[in-house]
Amino acid sequence: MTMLKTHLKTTEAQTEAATMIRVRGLSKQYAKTDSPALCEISFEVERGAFVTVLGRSGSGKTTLFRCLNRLIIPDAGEILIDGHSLTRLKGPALRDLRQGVATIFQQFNLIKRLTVLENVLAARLPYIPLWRIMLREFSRPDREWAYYCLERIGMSEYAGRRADTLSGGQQQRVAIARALAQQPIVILADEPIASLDPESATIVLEELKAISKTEGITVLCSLHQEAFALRYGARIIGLNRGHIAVDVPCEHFTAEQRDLIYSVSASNAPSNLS
Amino acid sequence: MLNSSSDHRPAQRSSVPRLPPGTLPYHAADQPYRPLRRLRSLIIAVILIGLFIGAARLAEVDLGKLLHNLSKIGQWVRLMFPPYDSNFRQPPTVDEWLYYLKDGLQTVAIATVGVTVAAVLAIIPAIFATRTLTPSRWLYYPTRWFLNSLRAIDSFIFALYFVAAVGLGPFAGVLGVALHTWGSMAKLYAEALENLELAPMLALESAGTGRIRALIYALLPDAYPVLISVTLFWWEFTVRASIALGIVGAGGIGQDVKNAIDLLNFPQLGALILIIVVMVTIIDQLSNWLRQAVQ
Repeated sequence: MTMLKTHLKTTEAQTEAATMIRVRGLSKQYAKTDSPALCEISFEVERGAFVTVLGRSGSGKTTLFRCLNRLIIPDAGEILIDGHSLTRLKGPALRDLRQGVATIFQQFNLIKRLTVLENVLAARLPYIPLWRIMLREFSRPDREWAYYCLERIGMSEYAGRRADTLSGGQQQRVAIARALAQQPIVILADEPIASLDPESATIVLEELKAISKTEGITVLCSLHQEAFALRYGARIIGLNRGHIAVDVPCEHFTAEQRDLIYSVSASNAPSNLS
Repeated sequence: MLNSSSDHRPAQRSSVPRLPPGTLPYHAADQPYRPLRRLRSLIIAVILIGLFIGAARLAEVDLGKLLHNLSKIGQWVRLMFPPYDSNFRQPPTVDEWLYYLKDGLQTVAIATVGVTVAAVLAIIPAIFATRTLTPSRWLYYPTRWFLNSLRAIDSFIFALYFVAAVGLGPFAGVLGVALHTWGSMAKLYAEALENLELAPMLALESAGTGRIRALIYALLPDAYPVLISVTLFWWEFTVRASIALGIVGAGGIGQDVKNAIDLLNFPQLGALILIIVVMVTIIDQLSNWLRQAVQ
């Protein structure tokens, strides 16, 4: 009996080590709405995976991502990142955890009036003394690191340009460089290509895929178009009305599952919820 | 021949095509019948006119009085020009002009020092009074109340108080301007900060950067052109408002204006008004030019 218990524990520890993101019973309902944005979502993402999240507008994708980077606090449920609880940690420990989680936003969210290099340097802010931040005087290693991260995604020639003079696709690549400069274990990409032309979209997803592979960074990426999801992801999580409608490897993704994600009726959702 | 096309009158659009009957359902484009709304508009109009009349009564508006004294007012204006008409008094000496100029500059100085002090004091309460940035609701409302009460009391009133407390002179004016402007400027700063896009700051926070660092790095670069602009605008406004401070004995060119009126010395008044107009025009231009430069 005791032997069995210890055995169970080790296997659990092993799966724990292979799991990067673990979400359990995550729920969130916004004030003044009659249905929850997320309803008891549970899933796991293994270390180093590239997983895409599909769903129509309003299916809960953005809410899920905002819970995962803690821009909003979920009503219930737990989020573990690399075994640490994002929902329970506080103070400096929480900040440490968040520093390991980089986010790519649909609207890039660069600081418009700063240069590209200064935007990438923003990833180093938690470790930089306040006077340097006020004067925007960074140390040589920091500047070199930021420049190197820009070079990794082929944007170093724009280092001195003001961020708002770049095209959307270029800004998103700077955002990827900023994420990279954070030395993250997880990158959350919340509709990173929704504001881009198809060509830039391809470049951005290629870059994300590449750094996921070379750096072993776990990437969770939400998308609108299943074509991109099938091409770049290894696994698809489909959200419909705050529920997980589909969770399959790409090779098992069928037309039927596509309907589950995009159907308005959400037949799999419990109907007694209101 | 080449530009014959430009002689052609463009197509007229004064009428719209008649739709053949049956294109739309019969009642589709009916005028909505809303008698209550008409009545409501009428009632509101009557109330507004009534309020205006009431206010005019309360303010003792008397057009007859104005018309009756029109000639006197015109004569006084005429006496101001040319300033220092030699028929009335001696022509102005260089020393006198310089003296008024010095008082004018003192008015600008009162406004400048007062606004600078107010700007520095306004930064922290402005952040507290910004809905999107305030650390707590328990700071938000008390700060707003405090700033509103500062705003409610004009620099003029504050200056009266400080003349009594620290004595006659421009320093009382500086204190008055600083206190009133503190409230006004913090409120304007808060409004400017509220309109800023927070997403870049939140992006940094989502990556584990503390609030203060994120604010300084991501929000300040966006905020500072509009904060500078608000400050310059308020400076320009305060220079104009500070002229009146002299009347309560708080220094500057206003004191000379009051003396001139008290002595019915209209040519002197003309000279002072000339200095004020030139001074205010220069300040306005300077402020405009600086505001454009920071955009």
